[in-house]
Amino acid sequence: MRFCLSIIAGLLLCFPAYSQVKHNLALSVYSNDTQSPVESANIHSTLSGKTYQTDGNGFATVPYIMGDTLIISHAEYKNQILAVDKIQTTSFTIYMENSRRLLDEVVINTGYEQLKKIHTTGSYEVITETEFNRVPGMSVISKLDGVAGSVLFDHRPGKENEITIRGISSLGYAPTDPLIILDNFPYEGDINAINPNDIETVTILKDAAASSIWGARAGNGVIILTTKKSRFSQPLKISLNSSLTITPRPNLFLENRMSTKDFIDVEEFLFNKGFYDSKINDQRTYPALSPVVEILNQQRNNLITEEEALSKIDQLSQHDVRDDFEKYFYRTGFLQQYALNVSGGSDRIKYYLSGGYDTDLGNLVGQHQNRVTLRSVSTFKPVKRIEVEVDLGFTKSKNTTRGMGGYNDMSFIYPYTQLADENGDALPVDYQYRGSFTDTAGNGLLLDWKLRPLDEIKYRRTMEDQYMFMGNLGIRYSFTRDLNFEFKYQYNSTVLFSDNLYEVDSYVSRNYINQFTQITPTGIVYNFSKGGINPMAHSRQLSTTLRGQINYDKKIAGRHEIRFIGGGEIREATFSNSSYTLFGYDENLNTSSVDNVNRYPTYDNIAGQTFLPGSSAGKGFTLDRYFSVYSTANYTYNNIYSLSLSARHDASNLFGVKANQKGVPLWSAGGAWNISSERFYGLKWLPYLRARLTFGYSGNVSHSAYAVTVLGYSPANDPGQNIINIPYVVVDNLPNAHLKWETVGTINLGIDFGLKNNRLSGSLDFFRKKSSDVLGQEEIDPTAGSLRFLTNSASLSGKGLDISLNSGNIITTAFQWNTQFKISYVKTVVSKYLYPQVSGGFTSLGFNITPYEGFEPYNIVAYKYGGLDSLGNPLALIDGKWSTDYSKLRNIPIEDQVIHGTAVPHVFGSLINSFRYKNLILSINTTFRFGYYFFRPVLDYNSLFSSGAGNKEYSSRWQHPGDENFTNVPAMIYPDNSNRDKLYQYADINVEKADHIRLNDIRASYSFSETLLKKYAVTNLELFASVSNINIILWKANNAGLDPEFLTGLKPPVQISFGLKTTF
Amino acid sequence: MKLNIVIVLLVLSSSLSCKKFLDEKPKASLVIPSSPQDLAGLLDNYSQMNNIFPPSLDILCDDYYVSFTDYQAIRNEYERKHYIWEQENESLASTSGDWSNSYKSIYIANLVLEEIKNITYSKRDEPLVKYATGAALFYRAFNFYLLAELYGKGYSENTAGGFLGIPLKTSTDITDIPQRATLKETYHKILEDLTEATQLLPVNTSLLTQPSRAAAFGMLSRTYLTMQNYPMAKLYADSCLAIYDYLYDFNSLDSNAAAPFERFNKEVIFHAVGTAVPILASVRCKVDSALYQMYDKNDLRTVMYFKKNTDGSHAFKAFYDGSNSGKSFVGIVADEQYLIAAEANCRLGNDEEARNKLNYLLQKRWRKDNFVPETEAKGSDLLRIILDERRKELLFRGLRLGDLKRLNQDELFKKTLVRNLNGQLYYLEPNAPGYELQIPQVSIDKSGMQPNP
Repeated sequence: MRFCLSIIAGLLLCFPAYSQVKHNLALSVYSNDTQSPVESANIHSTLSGKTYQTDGNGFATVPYIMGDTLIISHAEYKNQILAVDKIQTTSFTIYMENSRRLLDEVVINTGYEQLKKIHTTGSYEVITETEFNRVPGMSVISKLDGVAGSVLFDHRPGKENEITIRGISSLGYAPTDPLIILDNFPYEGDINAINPNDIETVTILKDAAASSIWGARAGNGVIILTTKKSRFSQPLKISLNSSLTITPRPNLFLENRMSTKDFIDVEEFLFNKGFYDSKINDQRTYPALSPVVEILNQQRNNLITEEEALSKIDQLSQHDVRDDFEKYFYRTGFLQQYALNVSGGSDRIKYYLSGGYDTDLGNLVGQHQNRVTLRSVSTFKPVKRIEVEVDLGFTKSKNTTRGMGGYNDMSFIYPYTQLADENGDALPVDYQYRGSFTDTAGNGLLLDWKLRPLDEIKYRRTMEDQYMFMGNLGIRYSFTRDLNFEFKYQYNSTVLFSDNLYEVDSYVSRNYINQFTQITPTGIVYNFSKGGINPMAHSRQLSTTLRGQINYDKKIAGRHEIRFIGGGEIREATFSNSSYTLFGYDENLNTSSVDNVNRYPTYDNIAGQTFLPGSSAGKGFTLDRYFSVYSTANYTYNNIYSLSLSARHDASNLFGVKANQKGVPLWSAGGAWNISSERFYGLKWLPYLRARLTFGYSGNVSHSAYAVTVLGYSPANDPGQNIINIPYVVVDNLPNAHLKWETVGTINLGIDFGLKNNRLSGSLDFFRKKSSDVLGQEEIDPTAGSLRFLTNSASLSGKGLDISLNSGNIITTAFQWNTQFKISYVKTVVSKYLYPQVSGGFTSLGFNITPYEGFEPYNIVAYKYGGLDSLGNPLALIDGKWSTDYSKLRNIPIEDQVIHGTAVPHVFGSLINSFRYKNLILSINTTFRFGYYFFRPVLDYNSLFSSGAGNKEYSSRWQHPGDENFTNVPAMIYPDNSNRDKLYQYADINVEKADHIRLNDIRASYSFSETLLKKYAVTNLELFASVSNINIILWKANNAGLDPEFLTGLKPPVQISFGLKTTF
Repeated sequence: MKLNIVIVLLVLSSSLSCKKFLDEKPKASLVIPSSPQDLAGLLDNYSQMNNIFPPSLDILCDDYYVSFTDYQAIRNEYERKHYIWEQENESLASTSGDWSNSYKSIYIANLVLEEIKNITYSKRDEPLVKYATGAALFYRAFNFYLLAELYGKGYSENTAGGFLGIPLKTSTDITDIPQRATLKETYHKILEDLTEATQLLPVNTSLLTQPSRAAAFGMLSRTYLTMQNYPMAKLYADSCLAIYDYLYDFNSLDSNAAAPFERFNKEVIFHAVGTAVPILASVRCKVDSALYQMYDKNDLRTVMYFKKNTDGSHAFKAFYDGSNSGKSFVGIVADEQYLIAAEANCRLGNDEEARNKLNYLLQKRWRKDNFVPETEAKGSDLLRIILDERRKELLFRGLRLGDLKRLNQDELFKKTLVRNLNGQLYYLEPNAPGYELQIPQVSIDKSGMQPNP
């Protein structure tokens, strides 16, 4: 409303002033919902500076001033702004929106029922459509990053898809990610099959009272995606959204790589030490050598002079492979998204139809992804009392990549490798074999045996086709106005076909063909079929759910509101997959079979007699079944006191018989008190105050623990087993009839508040969590046949605070400044674990969960580091003395190690500032994370020597006596000592505080005025531009100049988006 | 309200039928033991069932020594402690796996024995069911035997009822941990399992890793010998040799080979090897010089078994696993059966038969032209010769420790063992507590298992 008014006001202000006639305006102020007059509303004239008040009839007279802006305000209502200009009329009726209602009227969808926020007791976070659509993107979940305050996205490479709500409540044997509900049912398919444009709101259920209705699977919190629907008696509405996102080439020069010159230095050092001699002299397998090593070897064999060698190496050192990558492997990425939806309804029927098309050309040449989504929701009332809803959705997506990947995917590339010549033609790289071998092998009778990474883009491809179908049927029969019965059914299937191809010209195919080619006097024998390799896979995820539920909702005597639901549900989810590989593949679809039984000779005996590469055919099937009964009850008295109760019992084939037999439900109870609605309440500056207290339990189900004895078949060629070469069976799981869900108990105390005129509103939630029956290893008597046993035996305890604030800093007609601030604190500690996971010399990057009683699950544990001795050797603290006896590192007790703390943040959140000037909105999102640590990536000689992974620290390493006073980087020694490397790699001096504040994204939008649009029958038109992945660090705690979230790998490039949203 | 009752009834009735709904297994690759193939497959797990027998059997024995420098470089604490017979409670971190690996194999054997009763199978599978049952019994007995050797005292019919044996775990229930049985009960359980196994196992099996009836006979003779029951030891050694008695003639083998006996060679009746331990690897493990002196220069075992080190000492190269990485062979080989038969005959007064068995073995071990058969010796002289030959033939076969425990009961043969580390001497007196390993601390803590003194 305010939005519309200000548009009008803005438009009106554009007209020139005609006259300044002196007369009065008559204003009548009414409440929007009750239609009753509003007494004592202030009417402030910005030009005269005078303030007037409405009388008991909500009436006031205000002098007319041309160009004036009237601000109508009242403690319990939202401000209204009236622009005074050339006016036809002198009397106005103004409807004010109740500000308290604004907070209360929010409807929470729990997946089982819709609750008005005022009736709830639990802790929820609601992400509105506007917040959700800040930045365009294809994935529903990743759009919550930086917007949802209570969801922590782990940004560490390798953990990108891990999200948690209020910390983890499991120790690695059950999922730690939240349950995702799409409208009414758990969604277990690919989240990317859901078009974000179909999502209206996202609700996050945080505490037990909110989530316990989802029972044994809600322990990690619940994210509810509510899709867009239509309303009865709604005129036809058409919306079109379109956007274009541009991602420039990534900058490959940001990483701490060592310089090419330093790298060549290391190669020369190793060459002189004889490091490469075994490879150089290997006349059987001809292992590849780097170009520099080849030059040095030629020089040593007097094939070239020292000057020639120097100049050749100098020439190489001029080149940087990253230039080649940027030029030939990367490009600017384009993501285009289109979404169209049509909705409307009569009094008997309503419909919502939507279609979306997304196409994404990724940064890597050959990357392409597209997606088509279709959805139709129709609801009709065929007869009185019955309402039927049919909701159908279909998604098809296709994802293709080509080649061998990007810069970080090719570890065999040297910093000075040339991937293309001046004409852009692909150059070969010595990969498995030396150039001197592949140059002449077979004397022309073999296929070309060189690897040209650039050419692989043409010959190697991965492709995934995915189809998702969703069908929902809902029937509601209303017995009375208050009582109805609902039946809901869902069918959801996702089918994935993956079809990869190594063409005959790809290196992989050529290499196998050559390896198994025998050149005999009578001709060439191809033991491996001369064609491409075509690995394929097929999977199907299918879930069906059936639910019957009774709803009772009654208001008695105007004061008592009772709401009850009760129901039962059965659910079955299956996942099946199979994979197989075709060999000898060509365009004519010829294929051939592979003999995996006999060994074949290899060309020149490079790999001895060996098996042909096998087809990795496989098949799998999983089945989850749940049977659940549940009930919730809510009671609200006079909109002041609310009570809620819920209980749910789940039985599943994933639990042990004894766990299923025990009928103990997961339950919750809560209460809420609208203090500001009490008669005695008198704080005028704080017109809205509400307190909530809840307690309850939810659960978490493991898919990796089984109640029964489980055997697994293993292949005959397993290491060890190949001695007798027959398949065998192992015991995968000891039976555990008591296996049950993990239980998460949460107590939550919450406060909601709103200051006068909603200048500042928000909520504050304090919680304590205790996870018990957490699956963990338990040490048992080895006489039983095992050292450990997976039981519901571990515990975790957590505590935290979620704060969400909204403030209107400046509110005028033309200019408004709003701030949204969300901050969460969470700390989880392992309180019980019955198997000692920590042995002597324990160190940890904090990347995986290491349960250690009394500490956090993701811990950074380091060696005490004593700097360098006078020979440049790092010193470890062993038995109280600084020592270089690295073999003793493994005996250091955990008490002598430095436990720095967690590798995931304790505090995180976002700050969004929005500025509106007339029709233009600009908003800036900064995110922050505090209270955690990381290991600085450092020089590791072991990986430098073996795989060429260098760090620019190399140049500051110890080189001469005395350097130990300036540097902590150990001297380079040969042969390398991996324990010595490990000491430095895990040294406490390399642990940094990861705390930082980051500029995350910026969004600007312009909305055209309604009056202007009306001419073209357009209701709404917004143009927007956004910049995301900005990743500018505004402040950081570490002095190493590192972005704690992108320590290794490529930093994702900035994304720039443009788009429009329009409604007809 | 009436409707609520209907709902409750609906829910109740469906929960009765939901038991079946929830019985379905959650993963297809989850094989819940259901066929004889599943169960036999469990026993075909080479790494578990044939490859990780207790290495400490040979670490404790007196056939070898290591240099002080090598000793210090050995990482596993238990190897160093066992070498000098230091008794200490085993914490989990330093455990050798002697106990846990054996009980894991016993768990698998018990699982097979329990589940085989629950499955249904066709007539065609009957031989497989018989084999799996017999093999499971064999494996259980085999592991019990090695554990009893390590954790129990030497067996004597008079004292065995009063000494502690090992827990005889015969179920898969992990909550049901039996206390240690007496030594007598332990050995009688081993005999019971093996005897039953002989009736179920096929005479021969296709793989040497799978127990056969010959192996069960061989194991019975070994057990009876340990129990000093010589008539039965003789009976079963003869039974075993009646099925399989192949011996290599060392004259026809290549003595220059780095590892002259390959894995699954023709003398093997049942293949079983211990966990590889660095202390027994050829690079460190040097053969006791007094033992080496016992061989005649015409005895081909001097070249087939040993390799001269640069420092003049000798390394053992005749591991029957075909590797020199410190894996003792603890399986059943025909030569052991000859020696059992010889000893039992001798002890029973059949000196001639004893000499025949001994000579048959030795003529395969000596240079063809220089072999002089034993024709004269008898009584205790002959017994001493046989026992010496037993030691000279069966190095690093996991048998020496049991022999020491058995012979230490005899005034004539008892022996004090000595280790020398950098001048520091360690002694193991006959029947000293150092002969028995300590029970893992976890078992003592969790199940109240009675520790060794």
